[in-house]
Amino acid sequence: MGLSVTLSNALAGMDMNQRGLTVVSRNVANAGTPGYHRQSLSLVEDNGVNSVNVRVAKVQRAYVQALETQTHRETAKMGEMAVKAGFMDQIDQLLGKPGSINSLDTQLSNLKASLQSLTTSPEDFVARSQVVDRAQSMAETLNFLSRSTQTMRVEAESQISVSVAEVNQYLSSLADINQDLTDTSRGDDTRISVLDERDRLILKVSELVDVKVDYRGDGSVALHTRSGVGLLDGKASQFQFQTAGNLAATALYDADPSQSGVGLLTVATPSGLAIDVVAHGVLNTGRISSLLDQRDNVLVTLQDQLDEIASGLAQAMSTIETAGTAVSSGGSDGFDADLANMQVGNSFIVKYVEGGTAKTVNVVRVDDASKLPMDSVSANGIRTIGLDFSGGIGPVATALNAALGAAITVSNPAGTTLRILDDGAPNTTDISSINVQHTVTADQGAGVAISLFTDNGGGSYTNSLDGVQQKLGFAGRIAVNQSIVADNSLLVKQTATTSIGDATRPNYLIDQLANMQFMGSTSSDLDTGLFKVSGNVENLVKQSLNFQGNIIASTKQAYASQGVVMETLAMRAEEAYGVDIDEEMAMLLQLQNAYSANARVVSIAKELVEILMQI
Amino acid sequence: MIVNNSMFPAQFNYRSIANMRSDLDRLQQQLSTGEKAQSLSELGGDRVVDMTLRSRLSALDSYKQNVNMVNIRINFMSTTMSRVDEIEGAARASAQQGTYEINGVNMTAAQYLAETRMTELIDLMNSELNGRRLFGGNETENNPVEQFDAVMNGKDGNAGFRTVMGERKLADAGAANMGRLTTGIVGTTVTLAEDGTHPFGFKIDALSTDGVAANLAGPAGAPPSATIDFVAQPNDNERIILALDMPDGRTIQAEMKAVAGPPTSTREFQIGGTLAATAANFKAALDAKIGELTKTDLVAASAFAAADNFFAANGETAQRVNGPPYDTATSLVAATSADTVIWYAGQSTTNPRQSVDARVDENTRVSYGAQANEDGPTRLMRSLAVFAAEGFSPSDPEAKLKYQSLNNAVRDRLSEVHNSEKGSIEVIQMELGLAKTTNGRIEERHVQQKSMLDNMLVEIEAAPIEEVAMKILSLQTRMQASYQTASIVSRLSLVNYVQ
Repeated sequence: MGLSVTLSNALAGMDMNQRGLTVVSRNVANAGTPGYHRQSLSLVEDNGVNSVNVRVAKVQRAYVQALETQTHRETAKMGEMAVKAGFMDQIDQLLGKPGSINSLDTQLSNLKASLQSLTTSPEDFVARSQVVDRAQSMAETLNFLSRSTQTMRVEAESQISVSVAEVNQYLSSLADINQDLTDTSRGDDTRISVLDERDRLILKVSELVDVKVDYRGDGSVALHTRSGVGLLDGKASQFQFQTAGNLAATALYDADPSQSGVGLLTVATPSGLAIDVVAHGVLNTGRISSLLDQRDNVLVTLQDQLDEIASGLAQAMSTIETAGTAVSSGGSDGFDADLANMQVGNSFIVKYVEGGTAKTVNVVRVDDASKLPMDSVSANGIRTIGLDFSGGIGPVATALNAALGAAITVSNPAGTTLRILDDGAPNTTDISSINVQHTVTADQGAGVAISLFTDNGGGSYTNSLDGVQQKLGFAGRIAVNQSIVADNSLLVKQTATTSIGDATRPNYLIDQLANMQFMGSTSSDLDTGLFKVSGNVENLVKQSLNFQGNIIASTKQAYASQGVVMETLAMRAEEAYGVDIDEEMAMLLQLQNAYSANARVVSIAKELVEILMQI
Repeated sequence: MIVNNSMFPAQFNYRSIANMRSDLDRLQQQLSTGEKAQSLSELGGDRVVDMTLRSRLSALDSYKQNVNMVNIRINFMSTTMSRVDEIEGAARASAQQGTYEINGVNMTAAQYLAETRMTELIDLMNSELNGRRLFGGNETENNPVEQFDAVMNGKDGNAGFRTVMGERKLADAGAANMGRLTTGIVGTTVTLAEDGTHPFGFKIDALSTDGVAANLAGPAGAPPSATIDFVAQPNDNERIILALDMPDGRTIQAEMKAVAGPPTSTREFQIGGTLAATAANFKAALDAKIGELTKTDLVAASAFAAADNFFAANGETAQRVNGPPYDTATSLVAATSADTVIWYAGQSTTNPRQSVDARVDENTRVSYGAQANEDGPTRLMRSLAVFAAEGFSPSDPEAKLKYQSLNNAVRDRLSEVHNSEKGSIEVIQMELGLAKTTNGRIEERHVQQKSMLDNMLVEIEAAPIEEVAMKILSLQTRMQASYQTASIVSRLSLVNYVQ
C-alpha cells in the first residue's frame, strides 16, 4: 500500500469517469433517436494485488424482452389497421355522405324523381331528357365507383410490391447483422449500436409481416411468421411478387395460378421452397396481409355490391314477367308457359306445394355446358336449377321433369311451351304458379319494358351466367342505351304508334324500380358475416351503403383503439429505454464532481510525492 | 387516461394536443356546415334511417311537383269546361221559343252564330298547356279535333260534315221527296208503306183515329206498311193521326182532319161524295203532308242524324250513307280516314277520366283525363254543326219551319236533363273538381309528412349550435391548460440549471 496505490485508484476512477461521460454524452446526443436504447455503465471493484480500484465491466443497454415481443405483435396489427383505415377512408370519401350529390342514394332518388315527373308529362321533351340525364349520371356514378374500386386494388398491388421490396431489404440486412453479432471480438460500444439497429429492423419487418423472433445467445435472431414459415435463419427468405398490372373487376384471386387474375405473392425459403402466400395463409396480420385482404376481399365485396346495384337497375327496367296460363289435362292441374323469349341468364320461377310444404324453384337458362349441372338450394330455401335451352324446350322439360320428382310432370306439348302438371288424384302436389321473366332487347314492339341500361357497347344485360358471369364488373360497364339518348321518346313509345302522352311505359319503369325483388348472388367475406344484399333496387343501394358505412366506421374505431395500444407501448418503451435528460444531467454533475475529486486525489498524491522527494 | 409516472409526458402531451386540435377542426366544421356527420361512416347507426328519410323526402318532392303540375292542368281544364258550359247555355238560349220569332233576326244570324261558337268550341277542345293537348285522352301531341273548315268542308279530298249531311238528306228524303214513304190507293183503301228496309226516312210508328170511319191496319210487315180503309164517311173534324219516327229519334205526328168544305191547310182533307172519293182526297192530302214534312221536319231530323253519324261520340264509329246513289241507299257504312274527315283524332277509352293519371303518392293516382268526344261536348258540337251547315233565309217559309224544327231538336238535345249523364259537360267538370280535391288533400298530407320527416332528419343530422359551441368552449379550456402545462414542463429541465 502506498501513494502509487492511491494514484492508481484515482487514475482508475478518472478513467471510469471519462467512460461515464462518454455514455452520458451518447445518451444525451441520442435522446431523440428512434430505436435508441438508453445505455449505462456497469462497474465492478477491481481487486488488484494490493489495491481495490474501480473498473468498467461493460456498457449496458436497457432492454425488456417481453416488451419487445408484445411490440412486434401489436406493430403487425397496427400495420394491418393502418392499411385498412387508409383504404376505408378512401371508400368513405368515394361513396359520399347520403344525401350528398355524388352519393348513390341521391342519384337513385333523382332518377326516380325524374321518372315520376315523366309519368305526369310524358309529352314533355325536357322531362324525358331529364330521365336520360339522371340515368346517365347514375350509370356514370356506378362506373366511377367501380373504376375507383379497381384503381384501389391496383394501388394495393403496387403497395404490396413496395412492401415486398422493403421486407426483403430488411431481412437481408438482418442476415448481415446476424453475421456481425456472431463476431464476439467486437467492443461493447459498437456491438450495442448493432443491437439497436437489429431491433429497429425487426420492428420494421413486423409492421409489414407478422413475425415471431427467436433471440440467440450471441444476440443474433431467427425470424419466422406466426404461421410457421421461416423467414430468417442464417440465410434470409425472399418474398417475390409478380404484379398483374391493371386489374379489372373480373381479375380475381384463384388458388390455381393459371386461373388467377391477380399478382402472385410467394415466399422462397433459403432451401428453395416457394410457397404461395395467399393460398397457404402464410400471413395473418401486418401490412402485406392486409393489402392482400383489401385486394381480394374488401374491395371485391364493394365491387360485388356495386355490380348487384347495377344489375338490379338494368334488370328492373328491362324485365317483363309473364304468368303461366292454367291448364288441366287427364285429371292433373297445372300451367302452360311460353319460354320463347327467355334469354341466357333469364329465369322462370315455379311455385308448388309438395306434401303440404310450399317450394320454390328458380330455373335459369344456362347454355354454357361447363357451368352445368347447376342445382343448389339457397339459405332462403329457393332451389336454383340451371338448364341448357340451346337444344329447344324438349330437353329442358325432360331435365326439369327428372329434377322435380315423380309427383310433378313437366312436358313440352308444342313449340316453346312448357307444361307443368301436378299429380292429380293422389294430390300430394299442387302447382301454385309459374312466372317467366325475360329481358326485353328491342326498344319498341317488344312490350312495356325497355333496356334503359345496356352493357358494354350497347349489348343487352341479361345477367348471363355463361362464360364469365355478366354481372361481374357490370357496374364498371353499365351505360345508358344509346338509342334512347338519341331519341328519348323511346321512354314513352313502346310501339312506333304509341301516343307520346301515354304514361304506361314510365309508370311501368317506376313500378319495377319499387317492386322487382333481387337476391344478391355474392356475399361479403367471412369476417363481415357473409352479408348479402336483397330487395328492390333502393334496398340494394341502402344495404350496400349501410354495410360499407358500418365497416368503415368499425375499422376507423379499431384503428383508433389500436393507436391507443401503440401509444401505451410507446410510453412503456420510453420509460424502459428512453433517455431522461434530468437523470443524465444529474449523472453529469456526479461524474464532474467525482472527476475533480479524483483529480484532487492525484494532485495531493503528486504533492505528497514531491514532499517526499524533497526530503 | 394513461397514468404515467415517468418524467417524459411531454411527447405524449403533444400528441393529445394534436388530437384536440383535430377535434377542434371537426367541431368548427360542424359549426359551419350545421351537420354532425361529414361522411358515410360518421353517420353511425342512423345511417339507414337517414337514407330512408332522404329517399322518402325526395319522393315527396317529386310528388309535390306532380301535384302542382296536375293542379295547373285541372285548373286550366276546369276553366275551359266552364267556357264550354257557357257556350252550351248560349246555344240553348238561342233555341228558345220566342227568341227567333222576332223579325227573324236570330234566324238570319243562326248560321253565323253557330259557326263562331263551333270554332270556339273546337279551339277550346284543342287548347294546349305547355305543348300538351288536354282533351284528347293521352294523345297529347296533336290537336284532338280537326279545324272548323276541315270538319265542315272536308280536307285533302275527304268529305266534311256538309257533304255527309247532304248525302244523308238525299237518303232520308228519297228520290220522290216523300221521306222514303210510298202511298197508294185501291178503291177505298189508302196504303202507306216504307220503300225498303233501311235506316232512312220516315218510319211509320202508329196510326190512330178519333172516329170510326176508317179501319186502320198496321204498320206491319217488312218493309212496314199500313192501310187506311174508309168504311164510312168520316164526320166533320174527325181526325186520322199518323205518328212517324224520324231519323234523329224524334217522332212527329201528322193529323189529317176531315172537313166538309175545301181544305184550308195541308192538315185537312175534304170528305168526298163517295167513300172512294174521300179516300182519294185523303191520299192526296197525305202525299202533300208527307211532302211538306219531308222538306221541313225530316230535313232537320236528317241533319241531326247526319251529325250523329259524322260526329261519332266516344265508343262509336263515324258512319255515312252507303252510296251513290244516295236517294235509294239502304244502308250506312263506316266512314274511314280515307274518305271522310274523322273529326276526333284523340284517344278513345271507356273511361276517359282514366286516360291520364298522375302519381301523387306511393299508391294514389289522380285521374284527370278528358276527351273532346265525350257525350257532352259531342252533343254540343253536333247541334252547333247542324246550324253552321245550314243557311236560313227569312223569306223562305220552309226555311222557317225547318229552323223551328231544328230548334226543337236542339232544345231537346241540350236540355239540362242530360247534365247528370255520363260524359256530360257538367259531369266532366264535377269529376275534374273531385280530382282537384283529392289532389289538395294529398298535398296537405304531404306538407305535414314532409315537415315531420324534415324534423326527424334534423334530429339525426343537425349539430345543435349550442352543443357545438359548448364543446368548443370546453375544448378551448383544455387546450389552453395543456399548452400551459407543456410549456411549464419543457422549461422544467435540469439543463437550464446546470452551471
